[in-house]
Amino acid sequence: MKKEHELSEEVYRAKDDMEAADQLISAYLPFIRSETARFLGRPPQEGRDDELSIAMIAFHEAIQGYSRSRGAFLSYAAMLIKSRLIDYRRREKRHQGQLSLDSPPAEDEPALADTLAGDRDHSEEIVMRSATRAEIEELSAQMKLFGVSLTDVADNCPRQQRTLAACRRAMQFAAENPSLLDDFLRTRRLPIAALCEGSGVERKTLERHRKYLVALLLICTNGYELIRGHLKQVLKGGTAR
Amino acid sequence: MKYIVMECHNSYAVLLDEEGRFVKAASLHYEVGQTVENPILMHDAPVFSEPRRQQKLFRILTGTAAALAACLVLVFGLHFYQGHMTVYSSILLSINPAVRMDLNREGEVIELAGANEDGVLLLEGYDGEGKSRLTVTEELIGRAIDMGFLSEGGRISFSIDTPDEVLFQEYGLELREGVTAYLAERFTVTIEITAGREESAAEPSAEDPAETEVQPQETLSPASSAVPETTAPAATQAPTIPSPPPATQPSATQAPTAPATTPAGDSGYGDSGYEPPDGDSSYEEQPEGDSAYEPEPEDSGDSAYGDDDD
Repeated sequence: MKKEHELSEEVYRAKDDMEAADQLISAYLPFIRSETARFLGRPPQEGRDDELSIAMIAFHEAIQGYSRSRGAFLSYAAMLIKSRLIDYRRREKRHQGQLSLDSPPAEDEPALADTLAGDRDHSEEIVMRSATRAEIEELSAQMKLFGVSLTDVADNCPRQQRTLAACRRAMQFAAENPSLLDDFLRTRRLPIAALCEGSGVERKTLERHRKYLVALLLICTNGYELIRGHLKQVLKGGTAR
Repeated sequence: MKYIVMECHNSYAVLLDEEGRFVKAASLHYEVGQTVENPILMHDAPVFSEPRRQQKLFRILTGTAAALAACLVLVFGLHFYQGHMTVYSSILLSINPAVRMDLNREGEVIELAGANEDGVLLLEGYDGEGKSRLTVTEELIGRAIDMGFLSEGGRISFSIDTPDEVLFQEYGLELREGVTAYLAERFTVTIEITAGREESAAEPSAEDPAETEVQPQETLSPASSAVPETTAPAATQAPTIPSPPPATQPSATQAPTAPATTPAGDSGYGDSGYEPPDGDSSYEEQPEGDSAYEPEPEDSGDSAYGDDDD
């Protein structure tokens, strides 16, 4: 009984702290694994079964969604894991009957993927990936200077399409005013007043998504071409408007 | 939709989609910088309000307030019920049809019941609930006139059964005045008011002053609680019927056999189509006692009779 109480305390601490949540998941990995095994009917293999990762993300959701007034945490987590795994299985069912390119080839036959005339150049892709990774590492290092982590940004990201559009408008305005970005980098403070005035977005919206805006404005500064390229649709849509 | 893997943790990955959203997803052996499609996104946490301490306090307070309000409603409701819905006193109106009116504490009629066959007939199609006792009385008398039960020289008697002496006097005065005023232009009838309860019937002297106040008149039968009162024409007859207490006893019982005692009264009853014995007997003795004797036993009449025996 006391143990359960302690666990629920830990869960509540982990709600706002992703690192604590990660630790909690490491501590309860055997539980997650056993729940997955029960679903699969066999022990999951680390590094091979996607189900284990899905069970872990479900455990995250359980931490976020848990309410003490609604009973024990572990039974809630078990239920959520099970339902997410069912979701996943249903989704995968759509691809059944299709041969995977990566499926192990029969004897003295080349792998399926290798027989295709690759429209994607593997070596180029690997180069691309490492370049992107370099950019991302640079970005997260810079974000650390602003006291913001990528996980924070993910938590702070607007959910509503309208809010997302508003934030994008603010970003657009900043991209068109390089002096604003210079000030932003120098002072490490978000120029909320200027953004608000320039883009016509409500101040409250900007304040609520401060961390997200920090990430967006940083991406607008020099050196993040690849990420910007990924976001090109957004930027295009912005200029078209 | 394509996603760039931004960050990988043990249990989750942070992805950036093409619209600029940063999302968390299941980390399916991703590497930072990789472009992925169809990731398993993390669902948003369900939103429900956590019961905070303040909310709990608020809940307790509102609960208490609701309980108190319910108690108040109950208490006042009970009070109202006792005042308005329960029978506190009753009046037996007898012309020849006898009707019992049950009154609440406020003096409003809550139930009407015929005490004999004619009474049931009189009440047919009449709804007097919630009206004042006087209204009901007047309306019933009006109906009785329409139906031929009451005519010139008739007699109306009220037997009031109330635990409160003050109420008895109040009701008696009110009914007497009200009915006299109501019938003033049409008839002259005898109005008689008695107490229905044994204890009040046992002491007629107590109610005599109240009755004599209305109209000073000699009491015909001091032994009984009946105080007959007649308007002008009847008053002249009253002295002609000297009925000393010992004489009333036999006359009441013999009433059907000796109808010729009051010629004047007789003629009046004959006009109204009343059977002489009935009218006579009622004139001689308290009428409700008599009627109770014939159609159905009724306690007030019985008690009055018992008094006579003593």
